[in-house]
Amino acid sequence: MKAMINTLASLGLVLVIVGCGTKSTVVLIPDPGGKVGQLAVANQGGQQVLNQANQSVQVTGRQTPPSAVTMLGADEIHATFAEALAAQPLQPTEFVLYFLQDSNELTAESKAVLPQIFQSIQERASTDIVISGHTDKVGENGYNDKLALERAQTTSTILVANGAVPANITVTSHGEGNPLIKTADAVAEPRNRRVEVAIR
Amino acid sequence: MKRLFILCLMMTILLPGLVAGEGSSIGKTKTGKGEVVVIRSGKEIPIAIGDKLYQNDLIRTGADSSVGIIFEDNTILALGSKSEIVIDEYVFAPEKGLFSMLTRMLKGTASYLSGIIGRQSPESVSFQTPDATIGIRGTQFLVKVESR
Repeated sequence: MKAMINTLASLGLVLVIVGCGTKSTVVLIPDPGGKVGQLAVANQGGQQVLNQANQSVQVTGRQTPPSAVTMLGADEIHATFAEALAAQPLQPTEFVLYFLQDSNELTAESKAVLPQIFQSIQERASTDIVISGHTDKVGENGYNDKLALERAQTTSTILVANGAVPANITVTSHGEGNPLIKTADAVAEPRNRRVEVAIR
Repeated sequence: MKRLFILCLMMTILLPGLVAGEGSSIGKTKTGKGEVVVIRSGKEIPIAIGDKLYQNDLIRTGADSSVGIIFEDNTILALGSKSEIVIDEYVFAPEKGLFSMLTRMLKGTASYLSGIIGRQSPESVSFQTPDATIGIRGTQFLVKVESR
């Protein structure tokens, strides 16, 4: 009798766990630039790979393999995700300024871009401007960290002189750790000697 | 014994400072509607547009509510109503080559657009739901978690 109660109790427990389960739906969509990447949706039951726009997979519980991949229509996506999609912040406006080798002096071409940055800050009335300095992989990490910071600070000074509010600006150094063009160590790459200005 | 006492005293003074020093902001809310709160160190804090978020924050939206966040690396996350998400780990230190973003969604709907962390170190990005783990290669996706 006791064994039976135990069995019934554990059966009940199993039912409760199943009843409280969840279902996850994952949908791959193009990014704002139109690019479609890749998702791997995995659990203890298996894995499904999504690599085309609007492909979707459903998963019910950690042990159950993910469902077959299906294609969702724009209407279905909108019906489920309209709120989240509408809540997306405006994409940051980004500018890239290039610098002379081993220097915090802007290239002539990049000096000409500055007025567009001043204008964009005004238009967006942005109170969140992130200036990140970068270098190529020539030189020591510590040196590049400092050089990248000097480039970012120089840029900040220029923006402030042209109307940006210092309290709205965050200056950071990414050193050589966030290259636009990935290279081996000690490789000179002018496109990595830069400052990125994100107006958010 | 006296040395031990001094050590303990120093720990008492220094440790809370260390813990507080750990928390630099990981992003800011940029859009918001209705009731949005974070659970931080066990306390429920209402969130307004422009507020900073921190590692380990649980972000929760109420009925007919939503929130949009831009993280330090420009990752963009937006939640629909009745949603809950936890940022379990967020490390963005390119100058040291350190990247990590572990997001755990408990319920609701979300839109996720990867940023610099996803570009520089896609293997360091993971998005979990109660049912699966999503590995991301530079893209945007939508997730819904519902009870069944």
